[in-house]
Amino acid sequence: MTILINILALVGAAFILLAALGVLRFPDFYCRLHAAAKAGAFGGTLLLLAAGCYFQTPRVWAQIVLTILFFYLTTPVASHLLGRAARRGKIPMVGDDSDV
Amino acid sequence: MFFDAGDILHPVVEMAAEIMIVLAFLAAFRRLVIGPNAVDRVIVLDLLAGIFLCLAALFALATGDSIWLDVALVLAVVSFTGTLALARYLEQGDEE
Repeated sequence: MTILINILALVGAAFILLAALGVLRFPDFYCRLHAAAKAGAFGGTLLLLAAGCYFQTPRVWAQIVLTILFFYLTTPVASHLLGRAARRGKIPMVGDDSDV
Repeated sequence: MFFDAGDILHPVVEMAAEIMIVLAFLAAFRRLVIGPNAVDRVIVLDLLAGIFLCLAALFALATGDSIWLDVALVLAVVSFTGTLALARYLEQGDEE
């Protein structure tokens, strides 16, 4: 169990670092949205699972499951709204020379 | 539950995870400063809330105190509400 918790914590931190690097390095807004939405939510989920494997009481597991469900259900909604706002606000895409 | 508090994470793993989260914060903050549009800054704010959620979960592991998980839950709720409000605001501000 200790090894599992260590691996989950390390991989979760690596995923959140990859999400931040993607947000820093990707060329346009929509690519950055993709990196922040998926990798960010996955890294947080892995770290929360590591904490759940450590505490192992029903109260903490209920709280962890609630947090993961909420985080995983709301991140796509927020990203979708941001993407729609950007598309309607005529934020340009890479490789799209036409008028959006 | 079989270990003393603070023993669960190997010290190297804990240090590496903390360094990676701090690097993630710095990278996201650089995009927050240079982001060309308002929507770029909003996704960075959303990602920063996720980074702090990761930091809270890591602190729960490192200190053996489950009170940090309450911090993670509240951060998830507040970041969703804030991002929703900012997205609606940006969309409406463009129509006028």
